Amino acid sequence: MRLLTTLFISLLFCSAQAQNILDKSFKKYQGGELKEAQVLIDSALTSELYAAENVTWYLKGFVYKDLFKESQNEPQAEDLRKTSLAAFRQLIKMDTSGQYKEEVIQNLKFLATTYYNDAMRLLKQLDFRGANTFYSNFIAIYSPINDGSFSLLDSELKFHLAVGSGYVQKQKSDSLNDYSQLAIAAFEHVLQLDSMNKDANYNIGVIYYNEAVNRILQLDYDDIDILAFGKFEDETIALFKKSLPYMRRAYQTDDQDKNILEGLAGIHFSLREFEISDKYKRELSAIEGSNSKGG
Amino acid sequence: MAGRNIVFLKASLILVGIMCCSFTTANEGPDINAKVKAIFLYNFSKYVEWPETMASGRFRIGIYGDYPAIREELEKMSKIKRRGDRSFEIMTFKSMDEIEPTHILYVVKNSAVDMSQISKRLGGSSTLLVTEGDGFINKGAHINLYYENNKQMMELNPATFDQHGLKVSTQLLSISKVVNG
Repeated sequence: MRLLTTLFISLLFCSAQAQNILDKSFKKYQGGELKEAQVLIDSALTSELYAAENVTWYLKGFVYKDLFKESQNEPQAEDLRKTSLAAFRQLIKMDTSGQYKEEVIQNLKFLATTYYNDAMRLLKQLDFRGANTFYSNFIAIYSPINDGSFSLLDSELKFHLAVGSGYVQKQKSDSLNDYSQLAIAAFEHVLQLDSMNKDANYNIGVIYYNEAVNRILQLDYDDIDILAFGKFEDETIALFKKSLPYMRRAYQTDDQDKNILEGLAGIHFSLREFEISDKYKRELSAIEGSNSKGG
Repeated sequence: MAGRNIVFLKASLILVGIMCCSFTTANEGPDINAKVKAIFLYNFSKYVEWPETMASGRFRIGIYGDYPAIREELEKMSKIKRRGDRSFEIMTFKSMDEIEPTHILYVVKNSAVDMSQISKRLGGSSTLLVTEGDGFINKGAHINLYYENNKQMMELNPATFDQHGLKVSTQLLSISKVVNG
């Protein structure tokens, strides 16, 4: 209802001509006839008279925002969102008194958040380029207006964790290409922001571990002669050792996580450190035992 | 009037669940140590020569003890590999009484392994005896597998090869720790 009031007051101060066309556009908007409201507001903005009125941009921002909301997942959605953003930004420039500031910021936050959500949606589809573009848009819009009430660091961590996980998924469906380095880069980015991040540490540990395991398991019996096997094992052992500090850090953050315990048991088993491997297996069994007792 | 309910709809952030990588564990997945040992055993068939009396028929690798993963690996190997024109046959001996001469007998690591009994079962046959136990290389084993610095290593006793009519290649000797040589 706040918009209604703001618009009503704003329209009182507009010229009669402006009031006429804005009033029509607003009524169409109010009645849910967004396409008609769009035509009217766009028509109004072809004249300098309307373009000089804050309320025109205010209404345009809302009309295009609602059009965007109605057309999400359709090709025109992005243009509608951009137009809405541009209108609200124009309003901020013109609104020297700050009359609209609070509402514009709320709308910018809304639109920014849709970019974040779209970025995450594209990651699920493994569209990394599109996801990065949308995520950049989210940051570009949200950063300047963030008053500290929202943690951008948190969204940065979640996005890059999702990117890393996406590349892991991509690797599973496309074994001809190597996406592991891209996944590791994404997880390392997370660790630069939060060195003890459990998911990033765990996933990097698993990637190095799996690479070593796969190299061994995929080895054909005649691929490598026993005379050269020592060198081959040096490389796989180096990978197991590379995975260990990551998995240990994950364990430091959560020593009750069954996946991490399995991971540590697996790495030490592969390093032929059987006593240490057994220690983690016992910890795992204890957790599983207590879980089954607890029902 | 059917007016639009104009309120600021605050979009909430969608959280994509973090898809954890899957871990291949020793308990659930393939055992890399079994694969490595299987590679070693396969290579022994290439770098050891058996007497003429064992030069025909299938090339037999026996496993004494309970180690399903290595049996599985060797079975896989036997389906795709040959030793010259000979196919492989993988045999499992669950008890001492079942043991019979083969080209290679791999004795699974177990504290209860009785080397003298195994040697007795094999008699004077030219079975390459491969073990995994401290001191077994001095108790009749031709090759004993062990780990050092995280790596699969082997020690080899040339004297026992001679005793059983087996001939070990110099290449295999060059990468082994030679005992009583």
